[in-house]
Amino acid sequence: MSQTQPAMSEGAAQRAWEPVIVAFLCNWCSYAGADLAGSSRLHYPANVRVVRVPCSGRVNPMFVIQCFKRGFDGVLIAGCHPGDCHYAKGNYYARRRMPLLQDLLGYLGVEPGRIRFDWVSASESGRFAEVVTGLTEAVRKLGPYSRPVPIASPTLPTELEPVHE
Amino acid sequence: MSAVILRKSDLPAWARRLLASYRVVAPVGEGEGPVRYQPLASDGAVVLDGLRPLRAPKEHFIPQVEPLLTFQGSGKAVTIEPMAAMESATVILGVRPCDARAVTRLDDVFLGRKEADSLYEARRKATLLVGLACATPSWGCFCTSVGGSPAGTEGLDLLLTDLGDRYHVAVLSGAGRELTADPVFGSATDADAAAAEERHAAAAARMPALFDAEAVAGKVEWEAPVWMRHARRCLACGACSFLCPTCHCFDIQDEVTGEGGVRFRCWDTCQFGEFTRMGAGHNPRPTQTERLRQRVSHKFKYLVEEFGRMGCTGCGRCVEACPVNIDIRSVLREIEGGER
Amino acid sequence: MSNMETAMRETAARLLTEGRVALVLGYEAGSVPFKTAPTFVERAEDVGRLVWSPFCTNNLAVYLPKLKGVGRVAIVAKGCDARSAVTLIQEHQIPREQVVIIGLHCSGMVDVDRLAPIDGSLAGIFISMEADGRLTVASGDGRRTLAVGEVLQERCRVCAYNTPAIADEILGDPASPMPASADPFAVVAEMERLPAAERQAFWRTQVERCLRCYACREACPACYCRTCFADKAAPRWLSKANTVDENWMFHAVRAFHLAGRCVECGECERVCPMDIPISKLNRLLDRDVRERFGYVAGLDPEGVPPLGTFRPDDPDPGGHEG
Repeated sequence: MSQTQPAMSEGAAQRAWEPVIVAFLCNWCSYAGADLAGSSRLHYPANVRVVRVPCSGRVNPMFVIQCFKRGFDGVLIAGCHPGDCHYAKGNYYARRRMPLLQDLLGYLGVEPGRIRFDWVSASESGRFAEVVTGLTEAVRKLGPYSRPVPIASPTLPTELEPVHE
Repeated sequence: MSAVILRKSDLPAWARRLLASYRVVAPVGEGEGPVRYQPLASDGAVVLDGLRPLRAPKEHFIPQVEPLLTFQGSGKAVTIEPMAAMESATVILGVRPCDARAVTRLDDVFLGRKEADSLYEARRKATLLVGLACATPSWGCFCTSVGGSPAGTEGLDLLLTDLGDRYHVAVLSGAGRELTADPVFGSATDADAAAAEERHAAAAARMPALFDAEAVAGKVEWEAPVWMRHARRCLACGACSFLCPTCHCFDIQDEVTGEGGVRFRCWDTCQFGEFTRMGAGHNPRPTQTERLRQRVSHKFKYLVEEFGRMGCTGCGRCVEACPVNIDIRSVLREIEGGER
Repeated sequence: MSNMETAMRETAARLLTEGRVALVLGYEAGSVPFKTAPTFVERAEDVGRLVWSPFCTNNLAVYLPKLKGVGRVAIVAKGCDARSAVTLIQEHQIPREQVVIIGLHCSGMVDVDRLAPIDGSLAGIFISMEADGRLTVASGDGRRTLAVGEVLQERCRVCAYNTPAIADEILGDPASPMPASADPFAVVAEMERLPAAERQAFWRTQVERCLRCYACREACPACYCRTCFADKAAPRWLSKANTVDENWMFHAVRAFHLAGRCVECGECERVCPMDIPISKLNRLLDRDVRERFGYVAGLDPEGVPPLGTFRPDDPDPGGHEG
């Protein structure tokens, strides 16, 4: 039994595909760094959707797996530099968890280039822009990740369709 | 009952011609994992030998996931679209007698109560079943203990018996007869019929009846050590019920995306802890003891009381799939015979 | 083997009679010659039920968390089962002093599918054990005698822990190392040689037929959460619909939840009715946990699972390379 991927809507097909990347940013460092990038009018691709979390250690691996289940093209997890965690240890746990998760997802065929785990401090606005730009370009080269197969008829819209418009 | 002959070498041609008028579902050999009844492609190969497949054609009548309706909101308005009932005429090839018999048990549940289940009804009415008599039992098989047979005809439109280079085809219904209105079919002789009988007897002889299932219904007791004795090792997985061709319990769930979504039903099992867990946390079947009692009682007592026939056709899949060797045959023997 | 059985029954009887344990978790004869069933022996006079054979495949540690409240429990444990018990002890699911591990030297378990004769059916098959430990299999095809080593389950073939690492008693003669124990991660390396797109297609094909029966989860001693993520309604991680994407997530998350905790007992794969190669997935993480953190699951009751701790000098992420 084979299930086919739903075709992109016509309008979307006419425009070039743009990667959709979810970024889990820790409130105290990387989110602040992203905010600073914005207020400094630094240019970085608009392909990221930001999810603010208290700490990179809060990022449940299930969030990342869920992103790929839903068909997002890339995931960024950014936290405070080791030693700077607002909660003292959260990023140390993330430092073990995330690379292992990348191993698992890579084995399942999610190219390693789609997931980036890195440190961005509150003052590193340039670094944030650099990280996002790098990841977006890497994902663009890899192409779209697979699109989820809906449960009912293919005409049922999935929430990812608007992204391509 | 009349009969015809189909040479094995003509089977692919017949299947291809059927494809012109029907959707043909058959055990298909490619792909990984256990053999599965799948829609046949025009160049597909039908696997009609070997043991009873581990997956039953029940998926065709009650799909594991069956959308019921879609809904879409916009502002305060909601549009609801019921899913259209399936209409395509279908032939399922290679149905084993236990599975065909199981379909008649599903008929009891989905068609035999106050209101017929319209989705099931549409599939059922549109489908013809072409059976294949079993030559070799699988190790879990016990159809002969529940009033069945490896060459049983209940629920079938045709029954094929493998005679080596050809099939003896018993015609069991008008619709079945129409399927054989094809030049590949030749007439069957008395010798053919005798050969088929011989095969049937040989297969049945490999499966002597292990217990008197009719007697069991009256002996199923609410409080009895048999339940805990067998259920204590139960892991509460769904392997038995999901593979069972008569198990039919389902859950109804909504999948919502944005303002719209789909409501679907999906297989569920009384063996899961959550099956009877209530909102406030109470669970009237708190342990596997109660759940094994439920499963066996449902099949061998409650359905007998409601419809006059058992909800088990002895296919043996539960026996083979159980990770901890809970063997329903042992449970029933114990019930039938008192303490072992 | 029958010496082992006798020793096992004597040990069980002694533990029960002395009141040292309230229950012995072991194996009894199954409903057919090539199966055994987990059994719960609570009286010394019932120890005759206990058997030991190359068909004692179940990981009995799965019952330990469920037997809380019964009292001290003895468990008949192969090397893999003992490691599972250790994992449960590490994670405070059972106090060390509440379990008596009756360890067994193990020469591997039979892959029952490989016993089937030409017609593929195990119906009516008869199996007996010779004095030298070989099996005589009688079926419609005739009789043949073979060594267990010829029909081993794959997870046994590559097992490096067939001597229990932790045990309160050890029975049997020391067993030889398993034939492929030096290279337990060959299947992982094989998978990694495929390009990403092929790996993606492979795993999607495998999980597509998953029925979400959860046999894998329920057979696993490390999966003891009272409410599994797969069954949670709030937050709702998974739909009950078994689409390929939902199934993919189920298997990915379960594998990750087992990282550093899976002892590769292989039961998940054995019990899967759809023949999904689950342990091929778990093995990847087992290997990477060993390589990244130098940790092997289930060897040290005082050990801390690697994801429950950290070192200040753990390597920093290399940006977008894994």
